[in-house]
Amino acid sequence: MKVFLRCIMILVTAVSLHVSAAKPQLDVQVNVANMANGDVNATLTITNNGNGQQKILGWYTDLDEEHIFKIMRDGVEVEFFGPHYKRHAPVEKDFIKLKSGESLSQTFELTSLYDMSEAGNYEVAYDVTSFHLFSNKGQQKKAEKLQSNAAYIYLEGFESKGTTANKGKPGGGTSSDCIGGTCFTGRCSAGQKTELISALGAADQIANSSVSYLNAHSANNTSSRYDTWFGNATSARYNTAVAHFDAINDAIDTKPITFDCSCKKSYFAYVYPNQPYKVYMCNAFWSANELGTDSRAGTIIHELSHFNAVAGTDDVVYGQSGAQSLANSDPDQALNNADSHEYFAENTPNQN
Amino acid sequence: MDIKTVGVEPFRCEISASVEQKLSHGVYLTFTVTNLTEHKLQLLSWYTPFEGFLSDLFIIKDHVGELLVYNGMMVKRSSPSIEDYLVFSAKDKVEITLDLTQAYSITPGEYTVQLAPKNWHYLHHEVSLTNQCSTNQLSIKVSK
Ligand SMILES: [Zn+2]
Repeated sequence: MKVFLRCIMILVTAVSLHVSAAKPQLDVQVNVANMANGDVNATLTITNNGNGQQKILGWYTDLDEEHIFKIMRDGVEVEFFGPHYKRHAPVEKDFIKLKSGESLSQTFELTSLYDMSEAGNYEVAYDVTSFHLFSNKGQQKKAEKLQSNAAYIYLEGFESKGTTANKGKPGGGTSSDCIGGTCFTGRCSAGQKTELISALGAADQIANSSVSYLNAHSANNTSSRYDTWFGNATSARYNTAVAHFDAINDAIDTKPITFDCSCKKSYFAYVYPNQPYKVYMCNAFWSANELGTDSRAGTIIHELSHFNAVAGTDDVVYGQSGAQSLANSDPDQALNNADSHEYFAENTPNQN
Repeated sequence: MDIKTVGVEPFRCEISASVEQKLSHGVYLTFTVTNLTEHKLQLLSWYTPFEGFLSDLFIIKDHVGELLVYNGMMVKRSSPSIEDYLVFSAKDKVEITLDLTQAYSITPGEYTVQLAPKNWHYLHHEVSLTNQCSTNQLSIKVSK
């Protein structure tokens, strides 16, 4: 399911500027590329065109360390969400040394650090000013500057194209951090937002199929799909399953879900069960498939089921084999186990 | 100290805590696992108190039997790596002390605490086995 009708185009603009100051003969180039997934990558190249060695303070070569790019949308500077560090005075090891003719080059993703959500013409330039940009010897009288000319890129911005997963949600599309009622925190890149909206659509699809299954069956008429993940059905247990999937489906369709992208751990995801409906996505989520076992869609079902306001599930066992034996040994606990809900919804391999 | 024990092969799990504790100091509980066997065992730390509050570890009830809401995180992980296992040599004992106020909204009053029943995973000669390690209830009186 594609939500964004974003043109798949790669625009590359390269502009270089010879720095006017006589001393540091550093040439700075910025290239900007709009990636197919919506990310915007800026490649910064700093070259020493002088005859001798040149130094530059390392943290002014890294977007994760300093606000090194100035970005304007239609002439107005856009907001920077990155960190602002309070620094110690630089020491020798904080400087990067470039030999004559040598250059350093690094690529940074911009949409997670700058507000590039609105459509417009964006102008990206490297632009830094510091008293210690080129040397830590003594107090400089004047701040030193290093700039590039601008690279330009047209972005179409984020607009909700109305997915079923987002219909009827409050506050749809009004804030720059939300797309049609689904919100983002923790510096999700444009590409991550696209992937999350798509994964939520896939979660909606498997939640709908779970609800349909449960509506078409009953406690005394289950089939292998139910039996595998939830075990022996009584009417009380079956009603619990129905209530859980109705609540999960309702959360996807009508509740303001927030995805956070700041987690860098090897986990799939995590939630605070008493803080609906915020889901923190981690590394394993980004490398998972959209559908299938332990997929992105299934992870969203798993996490939503944990919220006390949804189904209040626990992690009793993990993994498919653990969930299967739990269904046999303790069906009540299976209905309290998030992975059991995930695997029932993923239904991989397919069972009737 | 009030210690309640349930013996489960191959591990013994115990929770212990001072019966009277002050909320302003934190409400502490010590969890101890003993390897009852003569072999080296490796216990997966996931969903156990040994990894701290990454899951709802305890069943805590107030004096009227109302369950306290868990305020901590619940983490879904992929497959475990060897660093996720805790090594127990033969007859080894490992313990950890946790502050319950970090994950539960405890106010002055009387509580009963027990370990939430979970399936634990451990390795014996690289063979993966599961086991339930549960403890009995413990009573704690919390004052201001
Ligand atoms: Zn979970």
